[in-house]
Amino acid sequence: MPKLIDETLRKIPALNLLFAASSIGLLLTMGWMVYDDYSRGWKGYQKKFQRLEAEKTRAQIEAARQALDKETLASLQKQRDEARAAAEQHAKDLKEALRKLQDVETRAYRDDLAYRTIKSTYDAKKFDYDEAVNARSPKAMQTGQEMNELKRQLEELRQMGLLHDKERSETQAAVDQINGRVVEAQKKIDDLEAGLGRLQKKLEQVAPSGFMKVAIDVLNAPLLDFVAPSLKIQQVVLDKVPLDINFARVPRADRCQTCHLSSDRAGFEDAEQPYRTHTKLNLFLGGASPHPVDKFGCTPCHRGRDRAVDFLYAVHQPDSEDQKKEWEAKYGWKHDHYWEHPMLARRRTEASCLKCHQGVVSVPEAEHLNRAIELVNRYGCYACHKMRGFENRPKVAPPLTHPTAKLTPEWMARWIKDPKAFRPSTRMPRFFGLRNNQGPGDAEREDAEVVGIVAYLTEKAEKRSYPSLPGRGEPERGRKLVKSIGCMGCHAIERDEVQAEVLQARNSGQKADPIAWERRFGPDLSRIGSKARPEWIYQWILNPRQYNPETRMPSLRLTPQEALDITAYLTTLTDDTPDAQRVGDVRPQPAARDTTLLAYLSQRMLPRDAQAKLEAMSERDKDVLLGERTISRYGCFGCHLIPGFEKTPPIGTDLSEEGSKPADLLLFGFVPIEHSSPAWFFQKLKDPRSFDQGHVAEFYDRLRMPHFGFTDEQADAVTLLLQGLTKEKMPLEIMRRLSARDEAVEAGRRLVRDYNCQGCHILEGKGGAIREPIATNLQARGMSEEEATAAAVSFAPPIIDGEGDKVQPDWLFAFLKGPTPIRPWLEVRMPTFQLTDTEADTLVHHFAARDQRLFPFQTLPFEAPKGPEMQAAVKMFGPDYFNCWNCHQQGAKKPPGPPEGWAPDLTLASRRLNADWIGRWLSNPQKLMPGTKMPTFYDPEDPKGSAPPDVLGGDPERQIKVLSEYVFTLGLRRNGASAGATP
Amino acid sequence: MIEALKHSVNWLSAPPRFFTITLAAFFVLLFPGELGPAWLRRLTRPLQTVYRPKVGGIVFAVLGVLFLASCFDPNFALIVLKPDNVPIAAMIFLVAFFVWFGLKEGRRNDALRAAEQPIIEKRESGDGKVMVWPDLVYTEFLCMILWTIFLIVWSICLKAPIEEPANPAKTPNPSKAPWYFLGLQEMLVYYDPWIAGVLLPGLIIVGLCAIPYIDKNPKGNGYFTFKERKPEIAIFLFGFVVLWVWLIIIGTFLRGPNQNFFGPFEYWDAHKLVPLINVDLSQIIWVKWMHTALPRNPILREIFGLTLVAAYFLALPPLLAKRWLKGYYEKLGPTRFHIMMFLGLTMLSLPIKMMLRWTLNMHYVVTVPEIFFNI
Repeated sequence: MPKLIDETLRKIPALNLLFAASSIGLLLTMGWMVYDDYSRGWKGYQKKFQRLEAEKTRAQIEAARQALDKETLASLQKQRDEARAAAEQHAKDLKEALRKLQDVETRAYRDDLAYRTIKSTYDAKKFDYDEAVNARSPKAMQTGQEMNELKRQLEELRQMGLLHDKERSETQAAVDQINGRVVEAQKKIDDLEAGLGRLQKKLEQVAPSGFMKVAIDVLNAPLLDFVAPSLKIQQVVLDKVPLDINFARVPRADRCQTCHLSSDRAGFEDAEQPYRTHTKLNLFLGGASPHPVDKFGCTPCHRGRDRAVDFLYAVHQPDSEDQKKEWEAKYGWKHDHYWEHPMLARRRTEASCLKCHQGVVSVPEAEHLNRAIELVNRYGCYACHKMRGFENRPKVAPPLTHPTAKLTPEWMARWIKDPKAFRPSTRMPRFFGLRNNQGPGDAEREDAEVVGIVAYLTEKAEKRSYPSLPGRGEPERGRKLVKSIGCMGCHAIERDEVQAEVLQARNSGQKADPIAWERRFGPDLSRIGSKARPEWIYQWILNPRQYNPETRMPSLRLTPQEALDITAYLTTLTDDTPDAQRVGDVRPQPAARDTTLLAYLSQRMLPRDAQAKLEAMSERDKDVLLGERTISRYGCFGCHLIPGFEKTPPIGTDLSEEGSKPADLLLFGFVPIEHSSPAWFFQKLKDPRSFDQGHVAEFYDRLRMPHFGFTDEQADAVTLLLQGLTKEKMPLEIMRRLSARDEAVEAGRRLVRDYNCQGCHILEGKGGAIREPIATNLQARGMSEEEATAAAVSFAPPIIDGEGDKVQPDWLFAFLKGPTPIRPWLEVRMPTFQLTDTEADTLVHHFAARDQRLFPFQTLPFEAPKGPEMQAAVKMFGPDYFNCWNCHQQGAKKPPGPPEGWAPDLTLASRRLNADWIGRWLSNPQKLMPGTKMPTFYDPEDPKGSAPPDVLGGDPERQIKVLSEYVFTLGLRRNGASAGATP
Repeated sequence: MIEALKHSVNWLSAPPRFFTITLAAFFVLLFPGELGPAWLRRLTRPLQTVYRPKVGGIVFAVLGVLFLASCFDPNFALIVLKPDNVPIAAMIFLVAFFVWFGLKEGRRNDALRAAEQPIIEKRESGDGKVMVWPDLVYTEFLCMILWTIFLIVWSICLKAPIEEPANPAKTPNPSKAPWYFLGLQEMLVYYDPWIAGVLLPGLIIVGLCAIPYIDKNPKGNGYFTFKERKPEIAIFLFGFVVLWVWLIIIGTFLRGPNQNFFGPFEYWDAHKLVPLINVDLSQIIWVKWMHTALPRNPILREIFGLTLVAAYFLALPPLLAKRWLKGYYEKLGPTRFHIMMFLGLTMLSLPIKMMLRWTLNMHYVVTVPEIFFNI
């Protein structure tokens, strides 16, 4: 038996104390738990936004008050008070009328209630009767009688209701007669203050006061906030743009607007984040925009974690180093490797356009992305890397099937070794002398490789040489031609055009390229004389296709003498590279070459056999073999057509889904950069071989990507594009789909890009780069800089927006195939591009589609003016008014005055122009072609006032109609064609 | 200085070294001054003081301080302070403490008994009985409250370690089993999946079930003792602490990306390369030692391995019964002894295979891929 009944092992008071303490502890931890669960960052943002909105509304109310028309308000109030005073005098009648009105209302209500009650009873009875009749029930008769009785009562009550209505309106009329003017004035006051009232109502909602405030605070209180809190997560569920979580595609639930509360509302443009309005509200989020928020949400474009309601969990990405530092301090930001789709840095958001906007030359409004697409097209990234959207593009560099006809081996070697040393603006990247080949023996090996490449190319080259020049050219004449006939639309001679310091700064990467992008289409010609043989230059400029059938260089229809002059000029442009930047001679390195070849051969055979094989080869064969191995290793055939490598697949990684590659599949090596894919892309583009740093590797295992010398801006743009190449598959209904018309426009845009039309013409608001060299020419002739810039517009090729509207398809087709001068005063020539029929057709269709014109066949409605109309036309045409022949050519007849004042031949109009266009042109030429020399005869603001008053009654519309019809007949009459021609 | 210390800890953490140290420490601490030749006994006798509360407390305090100091190393902190690894870190100390506590109490009772004084349990409760209320229920209730507080605070302070959506193209590296299965996962490194994944776990359960039938020693019921249950305690602790808990700790803290071993202060570099060339026993004997090709006949080829395994399981127990474990054999009787030997030898085969792998790169002792039979 236990003997210590009252004695316990532990002391009870101590246990009680511990119990009390731990219970309090538990209570406190529970409180902490509830608080921890309740306190969310987004609630703070929502509360702050409520204050912001209240402030804004108060300011608006204040502004509305200020804007209120005080005088009108005062006079209305006065009217109302007067009316009220007048009504006072009939107070007794009014009281009586109001009492009567109330009486009527009471009775009407009572009867209406009775009506509705009986109506429902009647409906039920009717159902019973139908059923009874159908079942041949004996009760049918009785039910029928009851139903009819109800119907009778119903009819009585209905009439009673009508009676009440009548009484009511009569009484009301009596009231209104006395009180009407008061009500009227009050209504006007209310209307005047309507905006203010709305704002006040809004304020009450945004910043409730009194009871509502307490009620809302209670609804938002911890543990009670499950009922109907005002602070709550705002989300939009997007099942059309699902999130790919590898095993399933789930609808996105974008909760961004939980904090970015006013991103889709105008008026918060200057608010601090997260409240700022979207910068392109007309394009995104808005209900009327092409990307409404309820369909596209936020993360399909911005990426990041859709369901997150916390700054860090949403995986925001800083846009700059400064912002990164700021965020690290403010939010403890760090790279979140748990989410595979981190938000795109703000400057690279356009990367997302790519997944829906495919098959287009450029994406509207996506400036950075378009820049990246242009860069990839120009630099030919797709030549080595497969890239989605850049399939079947032509090779970016000239074919090397017969380079010896053009170049000397010495020049080739220097060029291959370091292209930028000879031509700093070249897009040919540098392969040799880069940072992962700086070890002992590497320099000799690379020299041997360069010698090998040259040996291979000359060995395999198709032997072709050109006859010596047929005569002598005059360099000065050649210079003038080069500068004026249009070469400068695609080429630059930068050392003539730009100051040496600027070029120096550009070469060292401190300044952007001073030459327009369009004029970088063809190579810079600064040192062309030291590169190409004169015989080759002569033949090339006469007919580029004969050397390279694939070239995009057009013919400018040079006469042999012009070609000789230009050749003479270009040969004077010789190498002036400063010694410091000059590449040393590439010397043969037999020892290094043999070691390298031995290393190559020993990969597949015994070193002894390799040695024997090598010893059996001639020096030349060894060079050629090393050249072949080097070309094969560096993939030169990606950009150049090289004999022996016609079918070799390109060597680069497939980049089609590069943007989806997790960062840990990229080798960062020992390069101290952030371990994220954009940081890696940028580093790879800026310094492609850097990831070899610190690794031991045989030369053939080292990184091979060449150095393009991208500026930060260019590398950032290409990074953007790479981020956009993801494996995401968008549903068709979301994708941008091109209509047949859009397709026609896009096909033309591709040609416009590939032939660099915008080098000379302004098209879709872009291009016209040739204006700058034209202005320079004009300055050389003595104009001031401002004059020259202004005059350059009239000496430059025309703006061809609206060309489809302007000219007939047939004419345009013929013109594109074989241009004939329309503006004889222009020195610049429309080149013969030797377009195929398909290409010319595509371009014509492009212009027609852009201007919504029919293609290819259309009737030209037209009626020749007769009698008085004809006379009116002739009168307006003549010196009395518009004096058209003063500028316009008339067939072969040139107008008086200097050529810069001339205008196109009007006799061509019937074959060239669309009749309806002439009318539009006459009424406002500046609208169709800004900067045109054509005078504006009819003031667009006041056509009537500026029209000739004594012709056709001064009616500008009729005048323009007659004039355009007359212009259209000019050529017809001469050509003897009939009116109403259909081309 | 500190760097050199970290380097040496990393060096010592390489599996064969770490395992040898663990094994030595296990036996020396379990039987200080009791095992091995006379010089070793003399050498290890002072370690008995570990079981004095003060000395033990100091040892734990030093270990705790070392652990906390290590947390200043970024690589160490990165792994140890991951929310999912925190309980494992706690487990190291908890297991060590309770093992130490049990042994300490047992040794104290043994000493009391030797001095013919009442044991601890008797002293605490007088006649050996205490009240259910309040001594049991009240204290349990208090523990419950305190534990709830602890769990709530833990769940507030350490966020659940939720990772990215599963991606077949990008599996987590390292891919680890849940912590309680890390011992099993570790076994998979050394044995054929059939043995490591099916046979051995099965035998663990069978062995645990068999304990009451094999262990005839009735002593130690309701009180702490060490002396009266030395073999039982040693065998159990070897299986539990060395072959289970130790493997979990290894699997959690030392196995990094690509299942490579990393020292506690080493950065888990996913690109680290470790040479892994494993050879089978047949290759070692036939090709490396005898310079002949492998025989075609699988039986002949594997004859050495088969002999070795047969000897281990069939010849070793009778030998042990005759020579070194004579007393134990007599205590258990032949049936119990042989069952015990089979289970015990199977258990021991794991550390043996581990050492063979680490020292000789031994892949399989017997391998007959023709019938998927590998040991």
